[in-house]
Amino acid sequence: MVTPPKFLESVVRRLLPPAVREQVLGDLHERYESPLRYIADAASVVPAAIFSQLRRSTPIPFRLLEALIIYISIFAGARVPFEFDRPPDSSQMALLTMVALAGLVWHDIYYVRPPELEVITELKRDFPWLKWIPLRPVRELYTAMFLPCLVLDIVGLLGPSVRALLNLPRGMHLLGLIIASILISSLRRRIGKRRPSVGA
Amino acid sequence: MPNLRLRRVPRIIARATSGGKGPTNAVDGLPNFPYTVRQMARTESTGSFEQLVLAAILSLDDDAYGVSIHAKVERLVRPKSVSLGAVYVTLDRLEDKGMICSRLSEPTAERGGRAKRCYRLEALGEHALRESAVTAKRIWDSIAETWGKDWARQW
Repeated sequence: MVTPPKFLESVVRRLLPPAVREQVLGDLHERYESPLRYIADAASVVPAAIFSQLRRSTPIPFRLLEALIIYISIFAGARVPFEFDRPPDSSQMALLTMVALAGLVWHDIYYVRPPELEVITELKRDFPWLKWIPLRPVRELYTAMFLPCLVLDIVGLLGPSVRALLNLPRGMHLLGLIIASILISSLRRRIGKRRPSVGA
Repeated sequence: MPNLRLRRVPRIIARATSGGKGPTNAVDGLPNFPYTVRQMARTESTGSFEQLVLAAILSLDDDAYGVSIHAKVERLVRPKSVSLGAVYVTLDRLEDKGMICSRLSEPTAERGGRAKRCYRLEALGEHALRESAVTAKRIWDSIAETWGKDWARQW
């Protein structure tokens, strides 16, 4: 029986959202004839699967609302003196918002929540009110938004000329993203985030 | 007439529904209340590609999954071709609309030990498909009426 090359399969596996990975990899395996055909199939399927997952996870108006929340939160965080040496201008805040939003999108498509630690489960059993504190979702959202912004900061470290050229903001924008994570988490809980996928 | 006592229904509602005399249409010894039957909400509109996918699922019955649906849709749109990705996106959209449902089957060796996601039509999907078939028939009749039955026979 002809099977797809392991390398190609592992690349496609990494690109596919986890919720549809099993079925799509199976379908591609079943259709396999040659490496070229496999690549052509994957090139058609992977973007479609990502797009579909993105549409299913968060509707577009809701995503725009999240973008607005991030922008306002970064704006609010930038008012605190220790956050930036000087407040960023609107284009810098827009850049930060876009980068943080990209992290959020990545999170919604690819993140699979690991099972909760046993200690936490036991604690929640003993103290039921603990489950009302959404520490975990806030932390996950914060990490998703913070990491791409950190990349932006690292790029800025290449030198003042790079920073000026790309008009990068200076600072870690910690506070703004914390505010955004709390707001988005509570918004998602309130509105009811759509299921990530049926296959999840 | 048994003496029916209203339970868990506020008196004001009981009066409103039975003209103030309590329920009179009890047939099973339990109080029954009149209710309004509303017309079922209209089905969401379906695009032509969605109709093709629904038709493919209907004809494939229990064997409707990504690859087989794609093959069937390609046969339906001959000589055009359809990408596998477009079929996946449409399947997801139809599932979100509640027209189809899916389940994961057992993994098989021919798929590298991976499961299939099998799809099935829901009542809403069947309704939408029926509606589009009726519309297609009307279009067909209308064209045949204008261009003549000879043209229709060629097809």
